[in-house]
Amino acid sequence: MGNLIIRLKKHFASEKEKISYLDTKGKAAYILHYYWLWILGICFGTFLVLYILLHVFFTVKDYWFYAIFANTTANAGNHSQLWEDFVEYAGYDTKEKKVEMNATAYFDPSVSGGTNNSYYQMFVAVTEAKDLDVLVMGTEGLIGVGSSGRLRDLRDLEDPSFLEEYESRIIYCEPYNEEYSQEPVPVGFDVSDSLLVTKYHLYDVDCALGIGAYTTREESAELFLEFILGKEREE
Amino acid sequence: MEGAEARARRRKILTHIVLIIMAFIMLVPFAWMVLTALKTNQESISVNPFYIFPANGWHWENFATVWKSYNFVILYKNTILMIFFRVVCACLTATMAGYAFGRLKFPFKNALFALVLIQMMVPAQIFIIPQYLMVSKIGMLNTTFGLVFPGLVTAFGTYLLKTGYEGLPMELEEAASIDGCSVPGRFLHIMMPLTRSSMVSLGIFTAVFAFKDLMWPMIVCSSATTTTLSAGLAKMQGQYGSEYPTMMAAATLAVLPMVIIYLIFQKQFVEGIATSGGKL
Amino acid sequence: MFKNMTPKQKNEAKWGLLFVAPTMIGLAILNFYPIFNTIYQSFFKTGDFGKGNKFVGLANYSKVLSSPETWQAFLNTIKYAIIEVPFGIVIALILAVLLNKKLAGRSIYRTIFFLPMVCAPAAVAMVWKWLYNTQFGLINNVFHSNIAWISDPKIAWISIGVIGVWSIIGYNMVLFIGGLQEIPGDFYEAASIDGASGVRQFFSITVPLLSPTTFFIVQTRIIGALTIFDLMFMVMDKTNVALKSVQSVVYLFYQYAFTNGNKGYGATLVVALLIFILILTFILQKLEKRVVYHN
Repeated sequence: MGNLIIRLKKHFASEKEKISYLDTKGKAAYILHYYWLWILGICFGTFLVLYILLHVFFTVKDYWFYAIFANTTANAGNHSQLWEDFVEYAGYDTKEKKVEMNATAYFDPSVSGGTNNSYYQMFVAVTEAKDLDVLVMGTEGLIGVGSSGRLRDLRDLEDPSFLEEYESRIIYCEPYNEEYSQEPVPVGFDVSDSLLVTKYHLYDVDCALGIGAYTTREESAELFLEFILGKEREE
Repeated sequence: MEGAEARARRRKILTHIVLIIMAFIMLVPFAWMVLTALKTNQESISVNPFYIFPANGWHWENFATVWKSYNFVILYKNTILMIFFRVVCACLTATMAGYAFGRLKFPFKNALFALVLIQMMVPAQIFIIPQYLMVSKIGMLNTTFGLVFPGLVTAFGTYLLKTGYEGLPMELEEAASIDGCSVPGRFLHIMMPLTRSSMVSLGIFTAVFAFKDLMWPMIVCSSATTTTLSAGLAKMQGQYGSEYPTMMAAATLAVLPMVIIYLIFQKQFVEGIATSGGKL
Repeated sequence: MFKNMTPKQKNEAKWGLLFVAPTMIGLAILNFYPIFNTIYQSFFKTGDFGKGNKFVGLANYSKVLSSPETWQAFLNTIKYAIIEVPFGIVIALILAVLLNKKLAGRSIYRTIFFLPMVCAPAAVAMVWKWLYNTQFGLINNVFHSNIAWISDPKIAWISIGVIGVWSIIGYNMVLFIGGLQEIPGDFYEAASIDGASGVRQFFSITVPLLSPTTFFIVQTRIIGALTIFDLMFMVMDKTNVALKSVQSVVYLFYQYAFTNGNKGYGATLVVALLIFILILTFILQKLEKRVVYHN
């Protein structure tokens, strides 16, 4: 390392001597000619490092809540009416953590070839990154997604009383992986009569809600379910 | 003399015939895309193969519908930024690595190059989830950097430019080396300018693949103001469901800038070199 | 590691390592971490419904290797590569050589051949499905035939291969044109003065001087064809009766890892494919020294 510094010093000394015979314009031209790539590289590198550091330290990264509404053409993304109402209902501070609603997803495992698209890959990525809390889609489709094991087995919820409360709404699926269970697994709640249909018009026919398999925010998912079923917030 | 001229002419006509047939085959989907964009929905779903041209008038308003329903300016801007940075990053890192692999001797060269090849052998789907996690952890979702992220380095480009550098004659560098020109000096002033056409190919491919990439923008940019053309238009695909004319109008609008970029590139670089160099 | 080197060699080695550093660091983070993760996963049984993964040792491997489905998928992939690689390369080479001559409308032709590369994949899939449609398809109508192009297990793989060739020609052609540009023009001038014909020039100048580019295309296209996915993903669906005799290894991987949620099994398929391609590449790289002309 020391060797390199000595050599760099020598190099710059000789370069300095070379340009000392030139006028200012000539000096600039010489430096630009021989060192343009170095200058560009250093500028670009500094910019990149600063840019990344800025984002690492000053961007909101965590989620309060992440939902995917599949196969809807209604406006239900971020800052839509649904988004605003839910943030207010839950009392989330969106400056501290994010609330994400993604209504740009079109896939349906109950249709042949219905998972052969980028939307489905996006859903898988978000689920396995442990980000996804809630998936809402048509009941048949949700059962198909459930079969792949990407929704939470509702018997494993930390709050079993919740399950009892909505027992009549529970939807079951047959898992692809027969070793997991021979019996149907509860994976979702029927929400065909919820605000999603009556007030926000996301779906015309039946729809159901499932909880992401790897989520660590079960309570957010439960809160959202209570919200769309029109339950008053208890405080 | 006349016989030779006639032969040359015959050969030229033959060449044109071959090229025209190929051009026709290559053009079918593109033409179909544009023609469908001008039909009514009813016409577009008719599978009668001889129903190629719009029968009930040319529906230019499909383009207007698409143009109005999306903020194309923002989509174009995001796409161009992503393409620009991906091309710059790819060309910069690949030309350096390609030169080193193609011309220099250094320890572990073969092992490192094997790693470059291995990257191309695995299906891209396995990268999606870990890369998404990385971008998410550093808070780069919904940013240009997030879009550029998987394209920071390129194994394909490294291999392509390695091939380019290997093809250049040895004597070029040896002379400079004897004159005491340093490695970076040789690279910058002698070798790099000679691989310009490989770099243009790499630039074109990087741009095309970045442009066509649907999956990645969709994952990292969920908001409509930060996403790219192809991902933004994919949303339209969902919105208009089976309305093929609208979808195809959108696809046509999306392709246009790429065609223009290619035209500029090939006029500026490829043809420029052709007139000075190889002519058959 | 720098022992027994002259200062000049040492200098070269240092610059070499410095030049590859950005690329190698980037690949390590972006690609090699996921690859190792995949290899690691291949030893686990994926936990469903939010349960943890279970270590199963080599069980996934014995399952993958004993499944006839896997072998069929490998066979399908190789069959696809046998169509796509040679035809895609030969046609593209002919076009590139023709378009490298002084010719009226050269840039128009180049642009047209480039167009399929930028077309929306959805448009491409739709057009080919329409061309191949049994009842109303253009091909069957023109030839008055009644062939189920993509759902007859005997011909579906050829039909898919044709789409593959069609979509790769533009790509190969751009690379070939790039390679042709780098051949110095004086070689041809000297040959013309000597009275060598066009065909002679092609075989004695173009072919050897273009061989590095050709080898590059062969190598990358073999890898590309063996990891084919997008095409089948768009054109074939689950109800297609020919699926079993067409689906590629990566398509099978997608079905397991994404659609069915069995990541461990999918990861094992990827590792198996990787090993297969590695062996092929090793052989090809050995061959390179013999077939490629270096000046």
